[in-house]
Amino acid sequence: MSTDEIGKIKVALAGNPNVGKSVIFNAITGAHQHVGNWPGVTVEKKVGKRRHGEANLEVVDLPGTYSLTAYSLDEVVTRDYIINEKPDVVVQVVDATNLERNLYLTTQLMELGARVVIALTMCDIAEERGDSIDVKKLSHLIETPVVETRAYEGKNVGTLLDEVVREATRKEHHHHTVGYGKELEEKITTVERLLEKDVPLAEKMPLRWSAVKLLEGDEEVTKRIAGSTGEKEILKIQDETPFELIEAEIADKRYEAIDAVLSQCHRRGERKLTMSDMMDRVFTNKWLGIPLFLALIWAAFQITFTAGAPLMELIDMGVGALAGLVTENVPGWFGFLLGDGIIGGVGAVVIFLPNILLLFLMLALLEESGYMARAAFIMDKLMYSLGLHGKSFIPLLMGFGCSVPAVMATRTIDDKKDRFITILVTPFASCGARLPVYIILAGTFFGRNAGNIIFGLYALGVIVAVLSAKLFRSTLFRGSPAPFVMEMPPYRAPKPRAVFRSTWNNGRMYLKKAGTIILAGVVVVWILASFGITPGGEFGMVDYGGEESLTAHIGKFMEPLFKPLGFDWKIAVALIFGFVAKEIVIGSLGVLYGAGEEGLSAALASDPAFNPAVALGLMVFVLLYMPCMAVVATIKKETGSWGWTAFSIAYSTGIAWLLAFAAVKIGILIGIGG
Amino acid sequence: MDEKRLRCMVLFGLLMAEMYLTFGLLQVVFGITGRGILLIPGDIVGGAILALIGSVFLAGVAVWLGPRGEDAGAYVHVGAWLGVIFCLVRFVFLAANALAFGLGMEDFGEWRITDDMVPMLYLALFPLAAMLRWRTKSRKEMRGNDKEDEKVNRGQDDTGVSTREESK
Amino acid sequence: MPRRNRRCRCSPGACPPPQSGFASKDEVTTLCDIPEGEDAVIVEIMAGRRLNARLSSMGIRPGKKVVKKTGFWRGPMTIEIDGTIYALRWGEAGKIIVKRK
Ligand SMILES: Nc1nc2c(ncn2[C@@H]2O[C@H](COP(=O)(O)OP(=O)(O)OP(=O)(O)O)[C@@H](O)[C@H]2O)c(=O)[nH]1
Ligand SMILES: [Mg+2]
Repeated sequence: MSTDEIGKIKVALAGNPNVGKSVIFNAITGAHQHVGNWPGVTVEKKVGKRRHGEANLEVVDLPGTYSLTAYSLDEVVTRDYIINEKPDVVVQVVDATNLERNLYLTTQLMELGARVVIALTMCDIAEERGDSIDVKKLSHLIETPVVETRAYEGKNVGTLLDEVVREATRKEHHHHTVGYGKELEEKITTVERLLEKDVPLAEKMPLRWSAVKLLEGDEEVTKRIAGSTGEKEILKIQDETPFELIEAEIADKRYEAIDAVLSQCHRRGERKLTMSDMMDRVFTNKWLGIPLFLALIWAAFQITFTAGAPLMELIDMGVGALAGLVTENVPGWFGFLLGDGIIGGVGAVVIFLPNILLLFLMLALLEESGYMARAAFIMDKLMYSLGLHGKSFIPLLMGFGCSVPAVMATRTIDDKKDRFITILVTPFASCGARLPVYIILAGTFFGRNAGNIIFGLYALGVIVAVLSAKLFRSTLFRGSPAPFVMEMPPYRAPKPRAVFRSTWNNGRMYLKKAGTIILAGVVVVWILASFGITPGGEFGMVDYGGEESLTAHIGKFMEPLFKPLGFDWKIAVALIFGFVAKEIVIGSLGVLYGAGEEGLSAALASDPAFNPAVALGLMVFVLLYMPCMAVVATIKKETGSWGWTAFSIAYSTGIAWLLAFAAVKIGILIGIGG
Repeated sequence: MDEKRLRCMVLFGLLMAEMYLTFGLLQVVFGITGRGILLIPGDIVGGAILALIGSVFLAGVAVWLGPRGEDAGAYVHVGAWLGVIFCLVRFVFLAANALAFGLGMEDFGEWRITDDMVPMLYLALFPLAAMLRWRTKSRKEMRGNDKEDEKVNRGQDDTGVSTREESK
Repeated sequence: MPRRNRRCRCSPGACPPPQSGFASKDEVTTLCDIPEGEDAVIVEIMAGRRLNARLSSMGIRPGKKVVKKTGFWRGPMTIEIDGTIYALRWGEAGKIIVKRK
């Protein structure tokens, strides 16, 4: 085979949810796709590149799907990619512990005429269960290459790629089909003939697959044949076809074919009571499930704060020393910018790295252990009574990390109303970027009670989310939640490497953000704080952060809005810039208080404008007010509507204002407003 | 799981249920009244969690008395794991507080190591010991089974949370 | 077991006549009506076209042996088919007709 013959090969990674597609993708391309032990981690396609021997591979990681009939948006991504983009090779990742169901998708891929290579994963678990699979025989029987992989150890990826290249360059392509019985086959042939007549269309669509889909009454495919020559007759045939029966019949025949193959090459071990079974019995128990969930979440939060505190102190000392060094040794305005602006602002954000790392460590453990799906299960009853879906709980939990992937995670919810409600309420789950605000304010003004206050804020976020969902369900999106059916992955001991990787990826992103957006933000704030209109009426450098600076003008302009809450202009400025990224709230305060050296906490404590009641109000406001820029963009993308995006911003800011007002007033009532 | 071993496990579960529930409820009561004694400080949330772990053990005993008695082992087993996991959590607190004390952070001047010697930490010694014993036992049995079925044993890992056979 | 005397509450027509308490052996009922820890064989799924197809692609289909694991009263329940655990809600479970052996 010569080089130019191979060229570029488009490879799609498809398969059922949670079978290990993203692990294989990462192993092939060296990417850092998010991996987790629950169905629906990947919701968007991701392209990566790899050179293998002579071939240039363009590999695409796709969301998991059970069939090519798409029900939810993530499945639509996969189906559209495979059908429209026509990858040269589809690597179907197959979970060796549930071959039968996984091969159901294979029958569909083959019907589509795709060149399929099967990558077996979870062989270690199958082995442990005592199953035995004759891989060679399986491969022979379905006339498709089957490769056993251990991608999470980085093994056998090369073999897989060899097969991919071989399959892509094979001259003839054998079409495998499942026979559906005389009666159905006759119908299929009739439809195929009709489709064939329209040549341009027939070239675009695999005939047999389209015919079967038409007989099943698939709306997408029916739309596609609109205007073609055979349309009328096909529609007539469709009218006479009982779709439901046909669909069931076809599914039966496919499973029959699979059983015929598997009975020759697969032996199931005797089922034993595993640790995963034992854990499920306890964690999904109707009495123990919810209390255990609360206990585990409590432990996760406590670790994030308690263990983070001394580590944060260490970094804080370093930052303070650095700022001191800079202000002493670097003269002029540049020293100012460095010391007060950059180190004060960015430093105020960077010191929270330990907390952020711990937070994401907890989330990674939650995801990798398999408990995430159980959380959805446990909460389903409560969520259902509030008009939501058990699956909606997953975005809320993910939202504790970052709202952007959380809003995207709603794609796995099939029903549009369920999904929109979830999108609108997900930003109320307090993300990692809001954490620094709480730590500083609660730590400064509530001392020993800081942990409880912060836990209370997280709880408030979830409560507001859930009550808002109820409100939306009974006003904007009437109806009842769609059916809840979800696969529960087996519990697994989190692999240290996977957990570490996931945690560090997020930590790195936090640092990167601190070095880019937040740096830019605080420099802007510093400039606005340093320049202004001098008493003489000229533009120039003024008293830093004083009454004449530009920040003061902006803040004063917004002050009427924030006055009832007791926020002064500095807080107003910080909140406005917080739209860019919520960490900037702390960064701006750091800049405005010139807090590089002594630390923001001390500066806030000595400012008369602050007291515990105001601090509480500010925390509530930051928790609930409009999501940051990146989230707003995501909401726009996911809802496809500026209207809903604007609604989300207005609603959250309104709620934030009301509840912050209530918090301040309550604070004053109980006597912490001094 | 043979009858004798199961009974042994349930007995252990009963003992643990009693201990975790007693200490847990004590801590809750101390937490409410604002008192507390050495090694059993008042702590409402911590006490509630201990009582919860105790309930998991107790559920095992209850199941044993019911129609599907053979499931009891699962509750005792998971209860033991929960005891150890929350002990680890407490241990992280202890380490963090010690570091904070070492750094001279405010609020920690008065801190003594006995402040963090709570039941959640030391009670876990029992489930830990039991788990080690179960493990060595099932190891031995595994070795006995080795000749019959090598495959089962190969996927073993030391963390124990994976699928491993406790029965037979 | 008087406490467990629950009935299937699901859309009319999708259910066989309600049973009083648990079905005895060889009786056709829904997944709602079998006790935790027991198994049965799926006879038919009557959940409408869309959900039928979805369940069958997930491997929940007639002819399969199903074990009910845990359940939250009339809330969600977990079932096991072929060693894989699925969660579904009481309402959906009422549309899955099973036969106890
Ligand atoms: N034991 C074992 N675990 C694996 C193997 N491959 C993947 N995993 C684990 O399986 C889980 C799912 O992996 P992912 O790569 O996120 O699965 P996915 O197919 O991309 O899932 P979705 O994106 O949700 O469709 C992770 O917890 C992996 O660590 C394997 O061969 N053996
Ligand atoms: Mg994935």
